[in-house]
Parts: sequence; C-alpha cells; structure tokens
Amino acid sequence: MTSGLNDAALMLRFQEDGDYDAFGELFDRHKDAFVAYLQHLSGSTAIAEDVSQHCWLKLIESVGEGRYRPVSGASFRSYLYTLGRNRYIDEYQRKHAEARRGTMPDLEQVEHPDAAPGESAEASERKALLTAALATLPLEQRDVIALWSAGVSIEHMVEITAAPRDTVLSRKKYAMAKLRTAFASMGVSAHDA
Amino acid sequence: MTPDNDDDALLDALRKTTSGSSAEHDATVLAAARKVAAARQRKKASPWWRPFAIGLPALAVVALISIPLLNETPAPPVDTVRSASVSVAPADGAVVAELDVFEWATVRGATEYRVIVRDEAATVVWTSDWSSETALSVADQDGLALAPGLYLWSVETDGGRQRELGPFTFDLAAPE
Repeated sequence: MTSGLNDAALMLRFQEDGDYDAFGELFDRHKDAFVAYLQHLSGSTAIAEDVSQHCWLKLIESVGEGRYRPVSGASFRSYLYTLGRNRYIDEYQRKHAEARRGTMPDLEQVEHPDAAPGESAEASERKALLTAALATLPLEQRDVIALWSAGVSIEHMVEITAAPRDTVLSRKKYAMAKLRTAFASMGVSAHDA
Repeated sequence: MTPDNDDDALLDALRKTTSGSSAEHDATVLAAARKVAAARQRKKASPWWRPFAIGLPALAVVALISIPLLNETPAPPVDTVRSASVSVAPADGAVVAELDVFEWATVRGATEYRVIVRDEAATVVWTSDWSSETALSVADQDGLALAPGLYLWSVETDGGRQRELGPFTFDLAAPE
C-alpha cells in the first residue's frame, strides 16, 4: 500500500524494496504537470516529451545503481523540475543556434496546440495566441510562468531556478505584465482565452 | 476586474494550452522502472551482497570461512548463496542475442541440479529436470522458448553447501 506516502518515501521504497507500485504512484503524481511545465518552457510538445523522458530515465537509472539520495530540504518535485530545466537549457538552449541568441524560437516555429475535442475554432485560436505570447518572453521569465502554471510555489521556484526570491517575484511580475499586454494587442483578455 | 481574478484567468488559460504526457512516453518510463524494480528486488533478496555493499566487516566473511575449519565440523547448509566468484553462463547481467547453454560450478555435496527460469515479474516460466550435469544445452530442452526480455535464472541443488545458486539475470535481446 503506497497511497498517502510522500514523494521521498515513495522513491525510497522504489530504491530500497524495488517497489514498482511506489514508483508508479509517484510518476502519476508528477508526469502531466512536468510535461506541461516543459511545454511552456520550450514551446514544443516534442521537446517537452524528450526532456521529460530523459529526466525520468536518469532518475530510474540512479535508483538502479542505488545512487538516489533525497536532497536535504528540497522536495522531490524541485529535484525533478531542476533536472528538467537544466536538461532543457543544456540540450536545447545552449546547443541550438536559436537559443544562442537568447530568445525563444521564432513564433512561426512555435507549435500551436491541437484543438481539444469539441473545442471551438475560436477557443483553439486563442490558445495558439497565448502560446505565441508566452514564446515572446525571455527564457527566465517564461521559466517562472511555466513553473507558476505547473502549480509550483515561489519558494520552490527559488530552489529550481537558483535565483533570489525577489528576482523570481520580479520575473513573474514583468512576465504577467507582458502577457496581459500581448493579450490586449490581440484583442482578447485572459478571461476570453 | 481585479489583478487576482485576472491572474486566475490567465493561469487557467495557460493550463489549457498544454496536454499531458503521451502514452508512448509513459510506457517507456514505466518499462524502465519495472526492470529496475525487479533488479532491486533481487539485490534485496541477496543477503551476502549487503554487507559488502555497505562496507560491513570483512570480519564476517573471515568468520564464516574460518569457523568451520577450526571446529572441523561441517557447516550447516546455506539456503541461498549468490557470489560474484561463481562462474556461470549466461553471465549475471549479460545481454545475449541467443541463449545456448546454462552452466554453473559444482556445488560440494550436491549430486543433482535443476535450472529454474523466471520472467521479469519473477514468475516461473520454465524448470528443467533434475540432472547430475552442471551444464544444460538449451537446444535439448523441451518447452524452453523464451521471448526477448529480462529473465532471472537460478540453479536449485538437492543438498550440499548451497541450496540455490543465483538468481542471476540475463537480457535476451530481440533479433535484429
């Protein structure tokens, strides 16, 4: 029985006892939000899945070698998101030409999210506009917005981004202001999106 | 409209722009986790490993070896022993394209052996007949047709100093 255990306890059961169900529960808790965070960060579903899969496999590999150790004072989620953020920056930001310019891919390169079943064309278009607006933000601001959207607290954002709290708050503030402005220029409000 | 309400609406809108992880992504991760879980279970079930792994006294090893010699009385049988010094084929952890033979070292005091093969979930998928041989050609065995995947195998003895050798693992690779 694993339900009710916290993330660290589930990871330890997976490592110490080979408890597959413990890992399964942990994976279920985090997989969708983690991929969503990486989608917002990268603007690409494919990149998000690649980075997410890489991180989970690295984590599993460390468990297989008995190397996983909970970081004192840091949550499992912070650990996972830090892995993801670092992997994305190393693999896709530093190595790719568009990232060397310090900006997101051009808007034309940003994927437009697929329309959900039953979703109107108008709603789908608004989602695309929001994705494009997010893509105009500098990486640091987009990172904070992506974490915020994934439900990560300011305290954990400080851990993940290794930036001072005031810096995280100001990045969020500026990013929110830009997104609202972008919305306004598109003729929609956040409520409409 | 207050800023807080505006933020909530923006958050809601942002979350609608993403999708969850794909089935392929999940299947890849969970398959890797299943393999590692099986390997961790095997490690846990191997009591001789743990003292070495955590650096516990070599004293225990010395005692186990020397006490029977000093007393000149036979040591009690050991239920399960897994030792890195045991030479087996396929080697523990090997990835094999084709499984030809199971081979193991003689166990002092044992006269017969049988091989037990388990799948990744530790379910027995094949058991050999008892035999005095310490090698078993796969081609000669009825009912031993393994699909690609991770397997555990062990050798049960009819007595002697060790009741069981293993479990060892091998990964039968898919044909290219």
